[in-house]
Amino acid sequence: MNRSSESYENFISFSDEQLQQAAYAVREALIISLPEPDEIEHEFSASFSSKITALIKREKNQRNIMHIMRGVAAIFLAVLIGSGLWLSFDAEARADFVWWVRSVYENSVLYEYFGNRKVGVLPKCEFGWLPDGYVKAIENIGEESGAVLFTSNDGEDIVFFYGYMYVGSDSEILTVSDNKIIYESVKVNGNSADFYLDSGENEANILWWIDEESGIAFDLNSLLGKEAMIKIAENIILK
Amino acid sequence: MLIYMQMIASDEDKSKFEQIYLTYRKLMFFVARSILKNDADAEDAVHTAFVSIIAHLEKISEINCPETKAFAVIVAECKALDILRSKKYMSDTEFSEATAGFEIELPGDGGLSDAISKLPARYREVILLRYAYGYSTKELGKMLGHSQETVQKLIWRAKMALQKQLKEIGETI
Repeated sequence: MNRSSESYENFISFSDEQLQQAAYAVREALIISLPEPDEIEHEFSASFSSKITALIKREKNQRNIMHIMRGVAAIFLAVLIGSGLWLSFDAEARADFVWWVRSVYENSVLYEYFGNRKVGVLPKCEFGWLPDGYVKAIENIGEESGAVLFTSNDGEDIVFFYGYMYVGSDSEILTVSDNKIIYESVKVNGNSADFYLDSGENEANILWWIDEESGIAFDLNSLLGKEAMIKIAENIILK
Repeated sequence: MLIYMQMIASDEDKSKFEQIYLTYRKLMFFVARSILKNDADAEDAVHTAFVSIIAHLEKISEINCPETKAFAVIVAECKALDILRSKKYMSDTEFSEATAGFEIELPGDGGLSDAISKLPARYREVILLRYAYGYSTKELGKMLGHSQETVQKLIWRAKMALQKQLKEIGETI
């Protein structure tokens, strides 16, 4: 069955109002599932307060470290420009410098971005190549980020997200899989890219990459293998 | 308690926070404990949850009501799962159970409500906080420690997971 591209609202069969009513019902069910406080036997430990202090201090220190890192990045950039050592001869590229920090957790990876946001409306993505049988089902493009869903007759999806990189923005690669995730550094059109292979059979693999020229980060989620996902990525045209 | 009080500006908020703390700390501990399986980690989760709650005190109008009760528990669940995620060593069984979050009795509509209840905890949390409590994606980002775009992506994925569930059971809304 072929489907032409539909709006997000048409693909999702429930409205936000229905979702809200359903969420209310789940909240009621959550409350019913809880015991009475009197039934819970626990004396909070003497170390509770000291742990609270340690957690608050640790959070403050982490924020300070991030501020320092951003400060260092700004200073480093200023030194590069000031010293004339900037590698690109394109004057516009100096203002478009972006970089990122990757933090790895048990079942997710967080990319935090730095640098100046590109001026202009987020471009649409045209997919020059897709495996046979996939058609676009949803396209949802905003000012800062966009999402596209492709589906196949086999019921397998390709989910594509993209958005501008700039200081304060981030992107989290999430999995709800409890399988082992194997990481590999790859390239997409010569740009840095990360591939995450889920060792399970029915969990999506993820390809994350950037396009330095446009200042956009992308991630692709599908059951396809690395080569196919890189091929999709390398055939995306920004319009 | 003193640590929390230093973070709060007004006397009115101090009183409100104290009441929330006394009313819900055990329930929050109970939920966190059910996920983390040990007291020390559960207390850590409760503490982190209260730090988040302090940041959104102005949104809590009534303390002794089902909505606030559920809110406190949802935030505690979020933080418990965050702790579980950051732990280095974990058995597969433990994480599978935790991925599902705190077990909720199904609402029993055989449709969208049941589907939300069955979502992985990360998706269920954002759906409840967004649609039952009306938090914006920006506010959720601050509460959950993510960017607004990551929250939007989470919500997007949650809706797709719901749609997939409904399709599998042949349910149309």
